[in-house]
Amino acid sequence: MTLMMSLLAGLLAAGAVVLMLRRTLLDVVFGVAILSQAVNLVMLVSSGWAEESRPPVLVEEGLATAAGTVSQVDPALYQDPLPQALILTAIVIGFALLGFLTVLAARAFETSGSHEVGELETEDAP
Amino acid sequence: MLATILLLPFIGALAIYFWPGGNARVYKNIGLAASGLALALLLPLTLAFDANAPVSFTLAWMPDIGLDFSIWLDGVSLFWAWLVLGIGFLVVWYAGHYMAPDDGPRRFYGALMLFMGAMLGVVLSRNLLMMFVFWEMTSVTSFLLIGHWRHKKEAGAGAKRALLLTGMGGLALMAGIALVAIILKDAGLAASLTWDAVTDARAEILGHSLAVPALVLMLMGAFTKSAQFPFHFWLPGAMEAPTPVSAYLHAATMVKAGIYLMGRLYPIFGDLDIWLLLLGGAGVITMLMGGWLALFCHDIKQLLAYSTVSQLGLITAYYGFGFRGVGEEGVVLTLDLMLVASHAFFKAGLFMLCGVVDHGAHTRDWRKLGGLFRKMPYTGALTIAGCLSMAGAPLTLGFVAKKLFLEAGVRQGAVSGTLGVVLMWAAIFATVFTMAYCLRLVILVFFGKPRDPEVVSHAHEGGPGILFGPAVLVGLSVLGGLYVPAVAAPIASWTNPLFYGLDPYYTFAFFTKLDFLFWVSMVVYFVAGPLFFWLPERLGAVDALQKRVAAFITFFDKSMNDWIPAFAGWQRGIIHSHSLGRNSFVVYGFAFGVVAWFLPFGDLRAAAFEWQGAGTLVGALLLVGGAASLAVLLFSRKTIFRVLALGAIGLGVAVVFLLYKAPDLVMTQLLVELVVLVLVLLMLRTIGLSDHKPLRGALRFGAPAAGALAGVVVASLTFLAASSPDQAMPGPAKDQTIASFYLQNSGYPAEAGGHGGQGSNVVNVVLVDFRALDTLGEVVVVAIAALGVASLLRWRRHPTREQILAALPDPAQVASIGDFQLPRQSPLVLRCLAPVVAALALLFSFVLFYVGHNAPGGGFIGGLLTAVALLPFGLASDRVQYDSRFFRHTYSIIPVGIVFAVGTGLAAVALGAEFLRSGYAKIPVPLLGEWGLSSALAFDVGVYLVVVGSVLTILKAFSRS
Repeated sequence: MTLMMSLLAGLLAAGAVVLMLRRTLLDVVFGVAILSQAVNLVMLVSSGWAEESRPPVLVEEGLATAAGTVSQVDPALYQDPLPQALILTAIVIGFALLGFLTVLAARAFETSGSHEVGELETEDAP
Repeated sequence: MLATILLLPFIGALAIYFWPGGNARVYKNIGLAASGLALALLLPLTLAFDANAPVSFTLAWMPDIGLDFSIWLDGVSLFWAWLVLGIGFLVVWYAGHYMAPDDGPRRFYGALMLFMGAMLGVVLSRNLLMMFVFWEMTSVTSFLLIGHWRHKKEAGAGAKRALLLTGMGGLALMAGIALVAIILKDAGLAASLTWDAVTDARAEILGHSLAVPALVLMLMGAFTKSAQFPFHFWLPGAMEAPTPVSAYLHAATMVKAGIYLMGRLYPIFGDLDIWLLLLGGAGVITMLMGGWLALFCHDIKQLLAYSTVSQLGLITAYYGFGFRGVGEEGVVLTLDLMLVASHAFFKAGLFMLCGVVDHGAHTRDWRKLGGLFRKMPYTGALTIAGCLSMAGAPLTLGFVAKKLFLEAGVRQGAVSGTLGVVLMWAAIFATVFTMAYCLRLVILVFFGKPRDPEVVSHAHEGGPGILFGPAVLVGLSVLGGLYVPAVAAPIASWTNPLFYGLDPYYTFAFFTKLDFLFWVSMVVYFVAGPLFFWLPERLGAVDALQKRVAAFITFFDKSMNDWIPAFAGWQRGIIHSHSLGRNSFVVYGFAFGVVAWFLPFGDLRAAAFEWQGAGTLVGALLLVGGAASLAVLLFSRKTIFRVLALGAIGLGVAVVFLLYKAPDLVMTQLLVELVVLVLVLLMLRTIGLSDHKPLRGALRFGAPAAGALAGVVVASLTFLAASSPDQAMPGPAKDQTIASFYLQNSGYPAEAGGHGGQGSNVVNVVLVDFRALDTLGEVVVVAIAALGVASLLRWRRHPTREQILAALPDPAQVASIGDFQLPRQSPLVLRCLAPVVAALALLFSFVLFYVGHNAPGGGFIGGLLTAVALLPFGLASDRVQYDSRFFRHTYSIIPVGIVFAVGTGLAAVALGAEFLRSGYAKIPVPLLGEWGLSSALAFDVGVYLVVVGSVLTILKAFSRS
């Protein structure tokens, strides 16, 4: 699993870089979208995988029971919650930035009338 | 107290810049008050001074890398602080009489106080890195001061030259300090980069192979600052500064910063073999050259400038003669600061007197002067006294300095072989020039017949105010020699114990050490010196030499003016060209290249591949699916297929999240993918379809190469990280990690004394409780992106409607994306069902939000779902609903959310806890029993609102096009 997912992350990163280096606005938008997917995978896959581990949602252990007692949580049973928390915000931030990028691309197109990122420079000059 | 002293000049500068309606007088008085007060504060510290326990003041900033705000007052710093502040005070006093009141006084006095503060910072810094900061500050402020007279072209050129050369030296100094830090780290010493720590680590530093490079780099800094050959030529150009600045810059600041640094380096590096060659060589060459060039000057201020070059060479050579590499017989310097004090006194005084002559006779060219003594007797007498000291006449401080220097030279010549002997004779010869140019200065200006009677007859003496400063300084430089212990005793007792490990005594006597060579040198000096007086006229080469020097300066200026922009342009062409593709290539290539450089690829073999049965098979399937989608995304010509492939990849990643047991991530990912899909389609509706444009030039090969590099790096990095030894047990969280802390404390009730997260969904508790500050920052990033979108829309209103319409693509073309026709009008079904679906989705989003603390869900997910629920309104009614009042102001939800989140944190502060610390309460509710409520829920409301507002704002961006 780890190997396959590492390869998947690498593959996505490679595709993302190729797309971002292309000349049309749409390709760049696609590239940024894919790159954030790849980075999220890197974080998650780094935390390791085991078939039998549980999602980090406590069921009975570590919670106060009706009697008020608390049993100790065995961390080895659970998947690491930290990368998940980091990725969760990363996904939302990635979306927000992608949103900004799409609007920027649309604005660039409206201004220059071109799909090509290379032609934006002509609009730079005052 | 010490920090106050350092702050006072800066406070003075601020007061000058902000004093309402001030004039030159007010500024001068502020400057006098600031430097005078600093001197007054320094006095008790001096009286209570204990060389073994220097006063210090430290504010920790980044102690792990040795970066602290750290100042101290050891003996060396004490001496320099007196010099900087004392001469500074006199310079401000003098400037009050010298500068015209309308001559940009705010700029002038402000920069002068900053200059004083910067130099004070250099000498008081205990930390090397901090000294570097002040060091650079002296470069910048001296640039402002040298170029003060903006109407003079040469002033600007001189200022630029000074900044360029000392700036380059500053960079070298920084590199040198970095090398010292590396050496200390290699030696396993603490990161503390203070002068005392570095001096204590002398043995480790000298034993390290980087010792010589470190020394050379730091000396580059010192040499550029102190105008040592081959960096000497900025200093004569700096005399274009107003005379008070010249006096200060040549005597106590700027050029002396380099000398100060040599003095600090001497106890550390004085044993290196290269020490004598570097300092002795550069110093002696500088002495010879400066002295020679000073002989040929017409402008007496320029003569003084070259004499500074020569004298700085003398001090540098003196440090060089302190070379101790030959063991016990080597020379030990004990009174190096005597040379500094002697030069500072007479040079500051002479520069000021030169300004008095300029004021009185309106010229500084000796070819128009002569016989000025009758007109300006006080100035003349003071100049003669100052020149006597500079020339080293007996019973002056200059004599003491000269004797110390010659003795050191003679002793070094005796012990360190050919190099020492050559340097010794060169140094003895070089002192001859000093005598010669001193004679020229005095005789040509003040005696003989007036060369231009018109000029001389109108000359007038300066007032007592303007003569006060030079009188004090010249007086010190003469009287100091009458009773040497008055100057030498404090210097020896301050500096010797701590720095040189010597007893606090000094040895100096006029007629001890009747060394034969020493007397030879004195004879050469007093006999040959006057002979050289006539040399320039005899050679008849004055103008030729002046021209040659001027030609070199012009060449340097032109080269800098041509090369620096050319280099900058070349650099910019690489890292910031006009092509986004090329820029991106550099950025990604560099980023992944750096990671690749440090990545231990060798460990990949060790990282065993583990067959995980079904898991591996599912992973392989996902990999194949991802590759196929990526192929479509990369190579398909049909845009709609590419959009779908993008969605497919997003869904595939959601499946990965599922396999990694991350329910929150799966929900977030699915919702975001949905919104991204809508977003991309909306964008396509605006910009239409585009043809594939093949890459041009080197990028055709560069892009696949960069992609391949990125792929290899990311895949290897991930695999290595996942199978590193730290992850010996892949998968579940381990003991003694952050993860285990979060897991064990997340659900733990607060009343039991633990970190009560009061939630069973650990991911959500991490987000809203353990790492709430992080989340707050991230939410703000989302908000900023959304506000960026809103501002882009605002910007759009500026072009006229016709322009926009003209720029828009043909509607017939826009409506179709590939083979897929966007309906002109929303389908009836969608319009009818939208409210129902939206209502259900909204309800569900509230549920997800509320249960988030204990089950998958929470503010992010709830917010996304709420935005998605409102989406059908936009799609169904095309533009009608989005322009309604509610949707128009979506972005105003965002600040409400941020206020909510920050307010939760502040509420905790108000209750006496840390920012964002969560609380928990059980509220009795009728019929339902107790209702547990965590304050983290309020924080999550803030997150929720920001997400809803941001997503709606972004989607709305396309509604009106």
